[in-house]
Amino acid sequence: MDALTLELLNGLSTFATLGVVALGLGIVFGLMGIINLAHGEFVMIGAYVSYVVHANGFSHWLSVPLAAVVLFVLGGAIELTLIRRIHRQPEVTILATFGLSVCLRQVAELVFTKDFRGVPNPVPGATRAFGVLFPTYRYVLIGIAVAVVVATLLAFTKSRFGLTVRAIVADRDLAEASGIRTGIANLCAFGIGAATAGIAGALVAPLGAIEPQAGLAYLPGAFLVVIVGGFNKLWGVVVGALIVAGVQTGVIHFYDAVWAQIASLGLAVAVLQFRRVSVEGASA
Amino acid sequence: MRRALAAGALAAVAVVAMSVALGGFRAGQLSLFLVFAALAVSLDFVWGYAGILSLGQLLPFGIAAYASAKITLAAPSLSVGALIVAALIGAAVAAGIGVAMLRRRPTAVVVGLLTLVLSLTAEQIAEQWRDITGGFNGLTGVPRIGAFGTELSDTAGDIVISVLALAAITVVGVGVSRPIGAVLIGIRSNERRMEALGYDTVRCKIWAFTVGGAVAGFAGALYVHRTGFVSPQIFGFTLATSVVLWTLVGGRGTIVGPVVGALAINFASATLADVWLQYWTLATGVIFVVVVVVMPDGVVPSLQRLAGRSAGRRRQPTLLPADAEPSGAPPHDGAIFEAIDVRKSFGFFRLIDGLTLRMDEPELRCLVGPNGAGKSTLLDILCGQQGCQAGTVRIFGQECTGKPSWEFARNGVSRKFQSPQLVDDLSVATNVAIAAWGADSSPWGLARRSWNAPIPPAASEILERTGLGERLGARAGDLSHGDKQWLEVAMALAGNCRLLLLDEPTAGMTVAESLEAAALLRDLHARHGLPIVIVEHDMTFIRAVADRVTVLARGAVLADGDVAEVEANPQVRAIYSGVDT
Amino acid sequence: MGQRRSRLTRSSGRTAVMLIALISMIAAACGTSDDDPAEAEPASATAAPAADDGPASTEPATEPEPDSAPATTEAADAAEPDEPAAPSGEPVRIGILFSNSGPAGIFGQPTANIAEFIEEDINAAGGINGRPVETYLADDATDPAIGRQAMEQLIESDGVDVVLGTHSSATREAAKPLAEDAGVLYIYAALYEGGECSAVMFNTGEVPSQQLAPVIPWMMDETGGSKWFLLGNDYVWPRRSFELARQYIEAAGGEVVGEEYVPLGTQDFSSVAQQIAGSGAELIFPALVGGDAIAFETQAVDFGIGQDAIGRLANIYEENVLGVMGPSVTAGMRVTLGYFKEVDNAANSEFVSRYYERFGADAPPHMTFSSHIYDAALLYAAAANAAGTTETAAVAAALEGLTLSTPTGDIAITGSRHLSQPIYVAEIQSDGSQLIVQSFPSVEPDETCTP
Repeated sequence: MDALTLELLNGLSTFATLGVVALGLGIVFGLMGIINLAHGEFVMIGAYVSYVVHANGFSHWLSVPLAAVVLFVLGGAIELTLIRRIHRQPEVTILATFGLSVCLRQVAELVFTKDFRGVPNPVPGATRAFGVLFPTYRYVLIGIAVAVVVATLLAFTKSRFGLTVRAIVADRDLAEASGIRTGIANLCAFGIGAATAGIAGALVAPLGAIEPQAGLAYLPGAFLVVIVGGFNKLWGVVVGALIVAGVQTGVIHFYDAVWAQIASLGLAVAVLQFRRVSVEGASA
Repeated sequence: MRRALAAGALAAVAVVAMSVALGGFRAGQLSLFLVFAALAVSLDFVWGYAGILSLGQLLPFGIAAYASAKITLAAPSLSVGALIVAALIGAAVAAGIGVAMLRRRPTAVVVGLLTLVLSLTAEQIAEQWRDITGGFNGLTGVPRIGAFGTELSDTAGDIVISVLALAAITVVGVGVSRPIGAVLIGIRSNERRMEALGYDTVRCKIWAFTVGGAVAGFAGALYVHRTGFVSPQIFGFTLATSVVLWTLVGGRGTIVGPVVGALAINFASATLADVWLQYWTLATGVIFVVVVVVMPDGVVPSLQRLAGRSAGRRRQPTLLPADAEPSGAPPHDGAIFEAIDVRKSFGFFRLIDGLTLRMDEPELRCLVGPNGAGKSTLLDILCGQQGCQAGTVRIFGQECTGKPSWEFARNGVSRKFQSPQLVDDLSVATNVAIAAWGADSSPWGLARRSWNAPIPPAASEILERTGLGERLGARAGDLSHGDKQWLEVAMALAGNCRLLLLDEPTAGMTVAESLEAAALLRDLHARHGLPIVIVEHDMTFIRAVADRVTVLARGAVLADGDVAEVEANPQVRAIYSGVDT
Repeated sequence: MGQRRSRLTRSSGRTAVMLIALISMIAAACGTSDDDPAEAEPASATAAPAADDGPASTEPATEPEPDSAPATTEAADAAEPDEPAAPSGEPVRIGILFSNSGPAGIFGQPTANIAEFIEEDINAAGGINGRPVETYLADDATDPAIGRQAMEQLIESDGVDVVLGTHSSATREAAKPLAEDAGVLYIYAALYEGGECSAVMFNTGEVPSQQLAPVIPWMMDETGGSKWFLLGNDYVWPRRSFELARQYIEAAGGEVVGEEYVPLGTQDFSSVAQQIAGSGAELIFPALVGGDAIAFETQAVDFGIGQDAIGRLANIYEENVLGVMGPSVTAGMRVTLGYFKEVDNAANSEFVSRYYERFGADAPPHMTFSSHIYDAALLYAAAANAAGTTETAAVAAALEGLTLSTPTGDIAITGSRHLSQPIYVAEIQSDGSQLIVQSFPSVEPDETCTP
């Protein structure tokens, strides 16, 4: 019974991590039709923000909002200088953001070297709940991640701001005819996508190594979630994270981690092959 | 073709000379990078020509490399035979993926992701399947290339590999210099048009993917003989993206581009990575972004353009008068076309709502009706561009419901779209030739056929009367709007045209021009007995051209008869005067 | 470093000439493929000799004998005349194949630093047979295909007399046939799974039998634990290590209660941690590398299976990785390796202080990989001096049975072409420092090899 509870909690924390890491990828694709292969690097930079915050003696909690701000600015700058020129051509964005990811990794290596970095767990230890001991930080992570995902998705699907952004981004021709606001809407969508990646990076930083190549490890998981959840549905990120977390936790439980990875890839192939995927605008 | 062969032969001579002169290490490097160039060219064939962005070109490459390594390790004397087997395996792998994937008409994004994920899955499987693949460390000690028990010396082996790689590149070069090259470019840039011309575009793409796989498989075998080993990283993200980089930077849709890209980037990184490690990697990222944004065609085409040479300069077809033209309706049972109780809705909106319409004798029929009446949708259904949810469509007595548009085209249905659909990158003559070849086209046939295109008199007349015949070499995308309209009509007539569907042919014309167009169409109809269906708004034009008018409203037939009858119909008058009845 | 780079640049000049010639030729030939072939002909006719021309103006373009004349003068600059006669003549070229980028690139810098010491120290001791030595570095980018190319560069272009390697097994497997074909001696100095046997190869890194045979029983004595959990990345070295560990554990009366593998690059260890927690393990043997090790250990603490609850015996945790985990996680862990910079002997103390003086106090730590490369170079120099030649077979013969005392301790090449060497167990202290708590001198590898 306890074992099952623990496995459920594990699944929940995997779900939360996957969800918050994939959120930005899902937003940027769902709203703008852009496949952002540099998304993993945004997460990596978010983790480095938390490292810098830690190295300067500040609290880890500061790094979560700070990473969001830093990545919003960086994402905005990238949208203005690069994405804006190509955002109507999905194939081109794949290529351009791939090149961008190489650049970001290499710049991170030049700035921070390729040494591993880490930040200490701000709330070490475990908490007893539901009859089991489970790491406190993971409860916190689940809480913040779910809050960020839900808040962001609600903002885009329910709030006046979000609806405006979606309307503008979705009906591109009409929006373009109406002038400058398209630019701002795209800027917001891409910036917010990047900001959530930053939050994800800061959240997962205490759980592992921070290094320039770390983004490459986050990207496949994020893609899996977005693919499985459905490209054109913003809430698909939640569904996708749920399914992928379930499959991974299940396969690891009954078999092992190596086959969990292969199973996830197989799942992605099946979904891509057998589900019609629309590249155009998103629905809730 | 002779030019591509000559270029390949010259390159081979130069590479051999260079290998002998430089010897040893440099010859080895050159051969390895030429193998990469062959891989890049295989991607270019699939991506730059057929328009399939495959991030999984390493699947046929890697699987063939493993197979070739297994064969050669088991029986070293078979290494040359293994090259052929490898090409076949590459083709089989690609054909399998192509059939499963492309038949579902996926978007570019789905193709890219699917091929990439498949590649990463292959990497995992190669690591896990230790008994067969040697696991993480892979297979090593594969003998150099040789035959019948003899292993060639280092430099000789390198030269053989270089020449074989060039041969593979040349084969692709020869291939794309055949009509199939132009057809693949057509499919890449305007798949809808090509399908309406009678091309089974899905089959052509699968064919291109398969041929690309064969070339990649051949390159994979060369790779394993060149390097003597293969490991799971052959499927990895690094090499997968490197191939895309070489092809992209060099220039898609040319053969020389990917070759130059592969050689230049590999030589540069072999040289610079040691001296300049971090900055070189950064530079590759920057190059990638800059090329994508600033010169998406790639460096070689951009340089050619700078040097004043047309980048799209390709072999031009010869347009010949056809011996006999398909004119008028073929022998058939029943109507020329008939649509029975056809229904089509989009969401809750009924575009076509139980419509029944037929044409028994060749006539000039106009479809009119207010916006949203379902005119263009009906044309789409009559030429297979859209399916319908219920009802039956017969063309010359043949049941065509639910068939793809290329089958309609092969049954004789030709279509001109509302906004001109041409292959912008190709010349006027090539557009017309592609239309002429569409009627009975198989990819292999197109790879073998001559550049002659038999053009029926009706199409020739249009070209001459509109002056397009003088400008056969012009790029279609550079024509004026009116010329594009007429080129599209000529294309519609150039194929196996027995029923012509025209969607707003006079859009954007002056009154005089549209009357001239009407005369031209009447003439065509009179002389060739061609049944024509025209969607139009312009009543002046309709009065001048139509034998009979069908009025559509809300997805059904409202009235039908000659112009005078229809104009007298009170319901029609009510609609056109804006009074709802 | 300056010399090596200049050498590379010179060969790159040659590459550039060839590259330009080739590209212009192909561009000319193929670019005109749709035009007149006659047009293409003159272009390639001029291009082909051009490729000849570049190198031919300086040296005849026969077999590439790179860097013949100028290298000598540079070598003379590098030599520091000490007590022995300054080496002179054609230099002996020592190639070093290592990972300077990619996932294992983190170990690259210490090896590059040590390459400087190799040149200096061997030359200061009189060189090899009176000739100076030069080192040539080549990066495999942690990718066997690139490693293979790097090996070609070393053997065929740089013309090295010996290759010292510290890189993955996959690169070794890919690169080895080149050394065999060319008859170049190849000393693989990284710790690895064992089992390598080739006429041109010596393997001086720790093999699992050395790291584990004496240490596992010692660990069980020391901690009183007998139930082991084996957790490794999914590739050949952890698998082989666990195969042997199982034997030693069972021989010592212990029990393996779990054996799990995770893919390289695993970030979430929650399910694995739970399996370990439920396994009743008293000891964990983690064969995890890099970021995976950091992720596992930082997460394990919160799952209640940290070092304070279940003792660790690690076989690759090194300073960089341990430093990121932090002392609160690592204090008490034991690591078994053939070298730590804390090894307590006079030669090592001197060597380590020299390292940090030269490369700065915050230089990437000198550790088992760089130390084994240094030892491999000394072994090669000693054997070549004993043989009086750099000819491969003679040096190989001289290497067998060769004994040497280095900062690592007393080492000897065994009949199985591996290295009998000391094995040290370090315990991580509460300040994060490594304290050597046990050493096993001259541990024999359990290898057989008769090439």
